[in-house]
Amino acid sequence: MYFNSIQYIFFLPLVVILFYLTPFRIRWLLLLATSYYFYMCWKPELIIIIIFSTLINYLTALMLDRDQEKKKKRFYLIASLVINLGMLIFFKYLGFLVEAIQDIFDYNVRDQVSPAMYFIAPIGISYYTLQSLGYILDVYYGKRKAEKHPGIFALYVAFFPIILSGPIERSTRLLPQLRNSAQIRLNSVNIEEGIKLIIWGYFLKLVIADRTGIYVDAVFGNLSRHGGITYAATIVLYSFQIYSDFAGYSSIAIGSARLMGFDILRNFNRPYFSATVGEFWTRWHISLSGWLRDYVFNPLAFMFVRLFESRTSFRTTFFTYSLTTFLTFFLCGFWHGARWTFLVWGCIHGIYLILEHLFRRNGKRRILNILLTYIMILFTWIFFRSLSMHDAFHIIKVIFTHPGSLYIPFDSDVVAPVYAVLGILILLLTEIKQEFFNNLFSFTSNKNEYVRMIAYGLVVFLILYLGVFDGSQFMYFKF
Amino acid sequence: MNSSETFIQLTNIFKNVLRNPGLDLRRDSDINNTPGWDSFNHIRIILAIEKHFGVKFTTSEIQSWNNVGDLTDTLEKKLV
Repeated sequence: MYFNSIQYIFFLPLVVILFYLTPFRIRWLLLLATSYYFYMCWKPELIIIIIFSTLINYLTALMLDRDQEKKKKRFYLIASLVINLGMLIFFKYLGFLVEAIQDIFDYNVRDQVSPAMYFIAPIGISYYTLQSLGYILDVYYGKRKAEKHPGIFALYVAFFPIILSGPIERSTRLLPQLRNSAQIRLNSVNIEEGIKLIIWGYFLKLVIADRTGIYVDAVFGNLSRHGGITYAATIVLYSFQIYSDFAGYSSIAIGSARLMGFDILRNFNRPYFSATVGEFWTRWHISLSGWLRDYVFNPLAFMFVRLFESRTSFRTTFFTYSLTTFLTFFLCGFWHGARWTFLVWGCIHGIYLILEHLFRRNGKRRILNILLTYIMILFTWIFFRSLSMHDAFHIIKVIFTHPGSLYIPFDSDVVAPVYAVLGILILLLTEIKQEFFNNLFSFTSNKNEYVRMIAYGLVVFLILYLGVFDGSQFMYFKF
Repeated sequence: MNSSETFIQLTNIFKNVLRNPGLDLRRDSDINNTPGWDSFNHIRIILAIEKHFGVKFTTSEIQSWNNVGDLTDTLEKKLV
């Protein structure tokens, strides 16, 4: 069940209504049942993997709590890491093969791929595995006690708004909310905020992401044909496609949870307004970057620091920081997929961060820094979108050597880039206002409810008028 | 060394590393809500605290902290 499908439009309100009608103390059961149902709509058998993962982690955490002896704890932790990461790597490599074949032949051939192959790539596994591992590590490090209620823990793993593509929540944030779901009361603020987030999510996805996708895919589907200007324009459009697709999905996920009174981590914070790449990573895919920082970067960094025990000079710290950052971003690239271009994308970001600590920019010229950072990010998107290093280098070379002319489709597809640019302009205006002029007049946060309703109505109108409605997939499902 | 004295010294370390003399450090300060506190400075802050107070933190202890308050509690236990 995609978020942008007719089924979800019926499913979500139904679940929300049932949530508020269900006796408080079995709300968790309703949510668990609907979450499993939601997940099984993809492929019923895949639920076995979730249940297995849930069971392993539930038991591991209990044993970590019970056995305080360091050696035993380490054993349980390593066993759990091996099983969780083993499953993830196994499914991802095979999943990657399926995706690679699909991308070579056709972009959206997922439905036609035989069920056996599709089974190989359980959707959401990259996300719920990290969410579960975070929980295990929190228990191991003594940040929280193990969750004793198996149903609540199962819900933590499978919570339908976020299971497919995050945001990747933390056990310290989400488990208490799920435990206390009995206390949530229907209130208009949650409903309105939830609807607002969902409407905005659909705008980002259906108007911007899907419209730009048509043009971007057309260009990438015919790489040798185009000139540098087209590639440059395409990468700019792609930067908005991937942002809108993922931020749109996240917005719908967070909004869906909000309708039921749950507060889910924000995943994006106007990332292209970052003055440095370091700042970008506090604004882009926030749940993942935070997870990597807290569960990969920190423990690794301090492990290296202890290795250089006696030397705590700035240079040693910088070396430790650089090494750990590079490894973390390498992993970040790898998490996205076992493709050279993802690894290179990750590594370039790692290098950016290291260089930014070597050469501090003039912080006063914020607008210039924002533009420079955006161009640096654009460069990395070339790799992220390209299927092969060869394609990526070809694009870079052509941008600098053969400008050519801008590709404009001469058929009905011309609508796509026009609507896309319109959507992007609306997005930019909205974000510029939020970033620099947030104290001024607000539409959707206005005290007057008529102003708010008109604003929502306007966005819905734009969605219906400019949006793509053939139920295309969210891009970040691939990861 | 009493509790508030520890916290004052801690605050000075943060102010020093983050180069922010006007920093208002609280128990609920963390890497997300404190300007300048990024992963790089996180390492430097903890090393500076260890050096200043003559203590050593384990990875488990560092990972268990949600905020400066947790850090302070662990530190004070070590100073007793």
